Amino acid sequence: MNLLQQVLDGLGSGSVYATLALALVLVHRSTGIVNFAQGQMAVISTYVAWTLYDAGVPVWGAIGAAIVLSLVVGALVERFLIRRFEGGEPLAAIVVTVGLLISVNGLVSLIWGTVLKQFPSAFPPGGVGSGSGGTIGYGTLGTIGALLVVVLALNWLFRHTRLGLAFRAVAANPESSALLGLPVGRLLMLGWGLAAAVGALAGCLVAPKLYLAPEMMDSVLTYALAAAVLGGLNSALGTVLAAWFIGVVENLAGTYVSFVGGDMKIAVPLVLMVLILLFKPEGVFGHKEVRRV
Amino acid sequence: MNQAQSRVLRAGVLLAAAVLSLAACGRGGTSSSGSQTPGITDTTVKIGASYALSGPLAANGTAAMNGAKSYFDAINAQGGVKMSDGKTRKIEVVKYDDGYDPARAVQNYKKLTTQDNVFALFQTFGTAPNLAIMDSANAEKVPQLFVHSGAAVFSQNQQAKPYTVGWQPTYETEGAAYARFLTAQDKDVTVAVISQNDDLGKAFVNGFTSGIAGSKVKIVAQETYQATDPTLDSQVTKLAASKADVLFSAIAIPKLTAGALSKSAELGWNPEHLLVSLVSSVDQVIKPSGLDGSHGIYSTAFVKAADDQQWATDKDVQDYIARMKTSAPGADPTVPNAAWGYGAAATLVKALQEAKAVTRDGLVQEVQSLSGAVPLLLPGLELHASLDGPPIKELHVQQFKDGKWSLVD
Repeated sequence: MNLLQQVLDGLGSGSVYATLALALVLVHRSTGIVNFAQGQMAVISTYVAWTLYDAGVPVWGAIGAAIVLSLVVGALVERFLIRRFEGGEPLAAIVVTVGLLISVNGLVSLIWGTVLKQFPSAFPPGGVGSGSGGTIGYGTLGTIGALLVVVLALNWLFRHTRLGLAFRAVAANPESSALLGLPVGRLLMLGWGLAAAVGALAGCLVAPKLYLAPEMMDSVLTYALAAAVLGGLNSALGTVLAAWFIGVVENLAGTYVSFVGGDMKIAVPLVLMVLILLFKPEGVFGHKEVRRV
Repeated sequence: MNQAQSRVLRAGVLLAAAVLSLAACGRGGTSSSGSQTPGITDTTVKIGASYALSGPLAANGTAAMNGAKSYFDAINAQGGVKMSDGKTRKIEVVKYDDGYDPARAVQNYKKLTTQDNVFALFQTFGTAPNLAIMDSANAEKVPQLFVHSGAAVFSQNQQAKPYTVGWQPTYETEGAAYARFLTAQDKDVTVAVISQNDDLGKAFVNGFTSGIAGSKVKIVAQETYQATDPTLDSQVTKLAASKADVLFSAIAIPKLTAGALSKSAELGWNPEHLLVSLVSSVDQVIKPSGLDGSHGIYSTAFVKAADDQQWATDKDVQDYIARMKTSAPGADPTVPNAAWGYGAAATLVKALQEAKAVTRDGLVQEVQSLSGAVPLLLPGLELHASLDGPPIKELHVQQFKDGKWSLVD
């Protein structure tokens, strides 16, 4: 029972990491920036959904409204803040996203306070399976389902639409894209908006499990970054698989490798991240950057 | 004079000016603490505090701050504290956020002692931040009073570290209280333990383990976690395999305790839960976990809970609730940290009143001999200062029933 349950738990926490990692990948894929504030932006979106729910809106409606709102706000953040740092020093952009993380955290505490909020699950309580075999909650199953839908949608968007082609062109070479007449600015805005929307969905899906608080995503960010790096920072499906892998490996190492144990579990994704950056910097599912000389 | 010489000269003059102005600053600092006690004027006494107002313990830190504020506000509204030199002073609190980060607590300590020139530090929050400033406070003879932590290290050796003292019962004492509660039932009980992998977790477990030694209560499974873990699902799953009768959660982070409670239920394991008093808030932990307490949820207390009906007519509790409403509208008076902050503030006011000399050393001497009642302590509990422990030395076990805590021993 223990082994199966640990694997199921690992898939559950892996799905939590995957939701945020997807948003990270989306921003990176469309603008080439790693957005450290992604988790914190997801938190504020989740608070918006919670506020709507608290005011009587049904849970799916609240989540939907938060997603739409995040799309708009994410685009505005890109237009008025990040735009000034794009194409410049990459470090400057990173510092700006870290600054955004800290200020959004402060803003959330200021508006909603620091006391934990219960976020309603969009899925029914309970789960499949029995105590003897291993159980998996409907919440976790729902999260996995939503993840797969997002991955398929993103894949379709990037591979089979003109918009996706334009996105990829802008990320690869903004100057040539502009010369070809692509609306680079609007595409960058849309990239950030989409990422914020995926982040909002991520926040709403994990909040019933992690409990809504200003720092809800802080501990997830480390794992999400590890998953995004492992997945190559560009592949949506690769990121999800990487996140599941991290969740399961972390649990199994914590359970069956005695020197790792419960309190060294967090070292697992970090060690993985270091190894990947050392030996396969393009990630397991990523593509090597090829440059023509 | 040629150009190179003049440049050297100019640099020399600049350097001298810089050194002189630095020296002047230094002198300014020492003279203010030499000739007169820092933080004391004829009408005010300035107290410094550092709380976790952001980060994973922000809710607890904010509650502690609000509790203390509501007591100080009430005293100031009555005119202030009458001290032994016959002057009545208002209490002014300077506070900073450390986010439960020891490095920021050290910065705050420096700011409070060198820029704000506070008389004493009060209720600095958390074990790690207080450990980080304890040595400096004792070397610089700044009182670090009633720290908001139950770690024994702050109170057990006041001969060597006279300027630091705790307030609430130690985590060892609390662990022993759970052991006493289980051994008193005189039947075979199996216990699973999950604890934070630091001194705090160890203190709870040590107190508990020595308390059950030689009894019918046995620990059958033990797990630890890292404070940054997003969930404790994996640990709880491992513990559930033991099918223990009781789960002792020595967890210091509200959302993780809530998650551990709901995970145990999801796995179909329904042990009795022992929650540490740090993390026993109804709104923050039990309600979010979704458990109703029908399988037994216990914790400990040494102050009267604001939502316990038996204290509904208690003067202390009524004052406390009313003052919280005035000073921190919207804050929840049932969070234990708020009640502790209020009680600790009352203890500080008592020490300021009774101190024989209006100096830092005078205050510390008084703190080391405090005794008597302060508001909100449970019946039978009083301050008993000693050089080897905090002034409050006992706790009672309480059970979560019908949506709130009630004492059971």
